[in-house]
Amino acid sequence: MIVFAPIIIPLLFIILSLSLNKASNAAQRIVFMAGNIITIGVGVTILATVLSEGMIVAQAGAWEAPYGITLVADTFSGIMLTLTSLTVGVVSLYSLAWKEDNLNTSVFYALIFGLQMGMNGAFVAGDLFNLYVWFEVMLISSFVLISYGSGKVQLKGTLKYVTMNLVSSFFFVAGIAVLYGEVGTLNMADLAYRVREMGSELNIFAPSALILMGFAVKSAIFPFYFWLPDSYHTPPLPVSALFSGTLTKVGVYSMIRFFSLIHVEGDVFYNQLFLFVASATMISGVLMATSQFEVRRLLSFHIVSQIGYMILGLGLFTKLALTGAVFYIIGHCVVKTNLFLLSGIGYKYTGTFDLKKSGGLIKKSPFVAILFFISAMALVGIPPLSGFFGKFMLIKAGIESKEFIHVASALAVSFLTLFSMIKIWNEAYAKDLPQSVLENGFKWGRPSNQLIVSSVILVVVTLGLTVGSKFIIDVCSTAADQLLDIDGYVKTVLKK
Amino acid sequence: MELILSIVIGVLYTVGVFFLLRRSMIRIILGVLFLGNATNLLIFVASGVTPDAQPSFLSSSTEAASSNMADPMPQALILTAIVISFGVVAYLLTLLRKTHEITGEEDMDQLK
Amino acid sequence: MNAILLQLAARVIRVVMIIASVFVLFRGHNQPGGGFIGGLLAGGGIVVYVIAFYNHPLLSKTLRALAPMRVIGLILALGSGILGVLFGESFLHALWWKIELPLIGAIDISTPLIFDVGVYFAVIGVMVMVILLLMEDRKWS
Repeated sequence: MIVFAPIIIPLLFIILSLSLNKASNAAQRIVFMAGNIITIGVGVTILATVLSEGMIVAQAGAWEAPYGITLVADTFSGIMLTLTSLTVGVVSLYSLAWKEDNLNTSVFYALIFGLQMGMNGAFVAGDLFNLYVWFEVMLISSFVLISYGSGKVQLKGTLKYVTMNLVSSFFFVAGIAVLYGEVGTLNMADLAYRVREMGSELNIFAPSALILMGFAVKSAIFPFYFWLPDSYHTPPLPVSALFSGTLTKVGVYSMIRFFSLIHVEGDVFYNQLFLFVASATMISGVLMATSQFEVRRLLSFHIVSQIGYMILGLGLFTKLALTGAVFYIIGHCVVKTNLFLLSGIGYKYTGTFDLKKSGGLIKKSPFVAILFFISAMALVGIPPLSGFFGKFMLIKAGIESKEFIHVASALAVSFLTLFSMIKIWNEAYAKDLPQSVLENGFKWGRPSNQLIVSSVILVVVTLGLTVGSKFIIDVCSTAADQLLDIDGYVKTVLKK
Repeated sequence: MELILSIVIGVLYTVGVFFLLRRSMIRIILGVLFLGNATNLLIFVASGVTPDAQPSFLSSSTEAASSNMADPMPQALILTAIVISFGVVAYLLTLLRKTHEITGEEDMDQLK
Repeated sequence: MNAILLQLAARVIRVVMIIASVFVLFRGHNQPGGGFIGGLLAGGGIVVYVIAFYNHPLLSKTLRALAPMRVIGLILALGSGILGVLFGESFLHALWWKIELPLIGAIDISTPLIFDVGVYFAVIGVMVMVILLLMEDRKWS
């Protein structure tokens, strides 16, 4: 029953926020934050339940498994539910204090809940078509959010984002159609069961390729990532932060879920493909990031590059690699969101996102500088911060599987990430304000404390990932176990 | 039947891609519509065309033949897909109007 | 624009389409029809009427009148799902009640019907809103 909650609660709050559009601003804010807190609570409850009692399966309308709509929550879903609701919660807190771009309206609140409903639905969907529907719920909310406010640049970014994502959706549905024609089912457990039973008779290559295309565009992997850096820097900053932390992760999650279920023993093609794509994504993303001077664009290219690490885990497909990938997703989601939030705080101080025109933040606010330093180093993976554990596990798994080229590229990309982070540090924090800016009558702005508090929360979570790393890694390895145990998944869902 | 429908799907995809690659925004919306309809037809064809099959859900008075029943699933999928493309096209039209109002442009290449 | 013929027709069309939409809505459980199609029909009738008598007061009046429909529709759709939970079954579980009415006789009320009515209202609300807002010849920003 609890599996329905992550979908019902945001829907309830969509209705609430829409019907409160005449109410006072304070009431709307309270409802908004209450909705976020309840969603976080639901996520944590599901994670705890899954950890203590194993997978939760629920059938909508009590239609039995291969026929009805099945919702499944395992450890990986639980982790993602908790993680995204936490991120959305913090960004919501941040957006309340952003005070630009007209973000405090009931429509905006409803859109955030819509986004959350779509993501949560995608995490618990046990059915491919249902997954598609939740993707669309998420996408339509994100379409409106990305065009929220309206500059010329933003409209251009929106168009790229919308067109690419729609095309990817069509690929996805076409894949679903062909898959249904070939296998005769869309329930993921039934699919896995049939593929294992009669793997050689079924030709699932074409549908998997189509579905892979769909996921690839949504999770921005090589060579389908170019829309992301072109659109993620255009919307209001809280929206960018939200998207950067959560949206691509939904694509990665679905990819890991789907391809681990239809994985056939000894089928090296997909693993080699994923490994190649992972390396290419990492390298091309990070190389393009090095030449950027707009901090949001720079961070967007880093999203692309770090998606590569997650795909690397899927390509290696060992327990250690998947554990690393899940841990990396957790760390990355928190840290990347926080870097965006911090760039927004920097914008509030200096009034620009351009690194060349900013500077001097370390003298103005050493505290913010510390927050940035921790997050940046966590992203790079300096021990003992969160990025290190994920990368360490992935690289160890790579060496164990003797994929040295990909290990080498992962290591090289780490160094280049360090270079980029040091560039932001130097340009925005360490150096003094350039003379040309000072001459133009520069005035320091002041971000409100709420902005800084939201960033502090995420830094605390980042540090918590270090302190509680043993527990988190245990949880991640449970998730990896469940991902590899396809028979267990089929048994639990289909009861056979 | 399958052959004709497959050709229609091919044509629809071609037209959709052609429109999608134009610079004018209204053509992009048309392209999205064509692609969506092509995909819906693909669902229909891929799950097997059964021209003389019975509907699967009949009222209790009708006698049901256990063999030769139509698959209700693709219809459910297509209906859902149609509703989704309805929402998407509504959004796209709104975006088109907003773009036009803010920039006065319809050509995508001028949006810089 | 003052199209007399269209205006004459629109009065009739609106009534006919709304009645037809209700009919389609209620036969939807076992036969072709249902909330979405019914909603489109009713919405079409309303839109035709507004097109025929286009003026700003009418447009904003229609928008205001239909604004609650979206929320009501969502509440009904979600509520029909939650009813299943309240009766101790799973979410979206179909429940059936037989109600004896004078004159009409026994009719079946079910949660799928409530869900469909919810979809009907939501579709009318959203569709009319989208079309009217796109039709409006005022600047948005």
